[in-house]
Amino acid sequence: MVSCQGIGRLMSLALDQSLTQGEVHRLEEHLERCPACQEECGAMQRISRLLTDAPLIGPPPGFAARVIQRLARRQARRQRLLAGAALLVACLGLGALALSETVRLLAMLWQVITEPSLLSHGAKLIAQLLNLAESLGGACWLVITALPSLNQPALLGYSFLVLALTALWIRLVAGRRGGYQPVINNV
Amino acid sequence: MEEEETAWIQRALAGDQEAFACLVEAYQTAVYNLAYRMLGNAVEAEDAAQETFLRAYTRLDTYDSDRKFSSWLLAIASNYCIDRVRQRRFRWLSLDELPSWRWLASSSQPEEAVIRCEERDEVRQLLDQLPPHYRATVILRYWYDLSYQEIAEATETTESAVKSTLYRARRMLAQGTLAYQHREAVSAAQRAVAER
Repeated sequence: MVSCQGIGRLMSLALDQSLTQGEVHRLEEHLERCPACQEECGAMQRISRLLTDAPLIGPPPGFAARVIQRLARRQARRQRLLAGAALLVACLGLGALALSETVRLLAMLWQVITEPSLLSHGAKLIAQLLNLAESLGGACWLVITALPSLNQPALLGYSFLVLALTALWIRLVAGRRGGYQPVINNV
Repeated sequence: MEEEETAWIQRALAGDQEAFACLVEAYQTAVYNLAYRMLGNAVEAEDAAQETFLRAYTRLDTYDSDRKFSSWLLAIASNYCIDRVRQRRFRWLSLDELPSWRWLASSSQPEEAVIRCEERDEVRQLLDQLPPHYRATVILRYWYDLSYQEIAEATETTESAVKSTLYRARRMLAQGTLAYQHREAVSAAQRAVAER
């Protein structure tokens, strides 16, 4: 004696033509005696017929071309992403390199600045340079103020000649630079 | 055809998009129909069918030539459509509220002209009642005439699980139809009593 649930499975297999002869007999016997299963079997058959008769639906025209277009777009996007990723990695690498070099230079500079000998001798060096500049300035001033009082026209003339020649030379060089025109041969 | 198909696959594997376009032309109806039956509308079906082919192109190197190319392609399509239906956060409707039950309950002659006109909608509404995994199994069985073994491969399950799924899906649809039919009979009887 097969239960109603077992018969349901047989009904489903019958719709796929997958029953043995013995199973077909068992199914038929049960259906003759059981109105509920008869009803269910009828409903299953109606649904099965509806689905079997439904046609295959194809895509609108131009489908293959649209797939290929989408494929090309996707590949182009993937290439752009790969190129972008490569660029990003390169930028990050270069940035890291530049940062490490900057840090190294700053460390070196800090080491030089904080060198005890430079700190102790730096001020002394600057003072010496200032002294030297003051001495040179004083000497120049002494020469300029002493020249008129020497009453030596030759020396004064020589000094003015040097100054005039220097000014002329500067003007000539400046004039040649500004007035230079390239020659264009049109022949 | 098989030799031609193998040549297209080999050329597509080497990056020849024209050869892949030939594969698309050959299988577009099969894939589109599966997507349309699973998703129930043309816009989503077009998108899902296109996506199926794109996935097939990128995974072509995993295709085992001992297997039928159509089964492999339908497996990709059905898996993608199942995921897509699940992602919709589908609002399950009551089986009794839908017009398909009305038609199925009242009709024992599906070949009638009026019913024929509505068939497409009826089929869609019928399939919409099934959970996505059941729906894919039913579609592969009825539209592609695949064997239990082929359906099992396509849906990544076993042959006995396919038999069981088909039985449950058919029973779910049949009981929905009968429940509607019984309720209609009861309300008709109540109307008749009220009219007296």
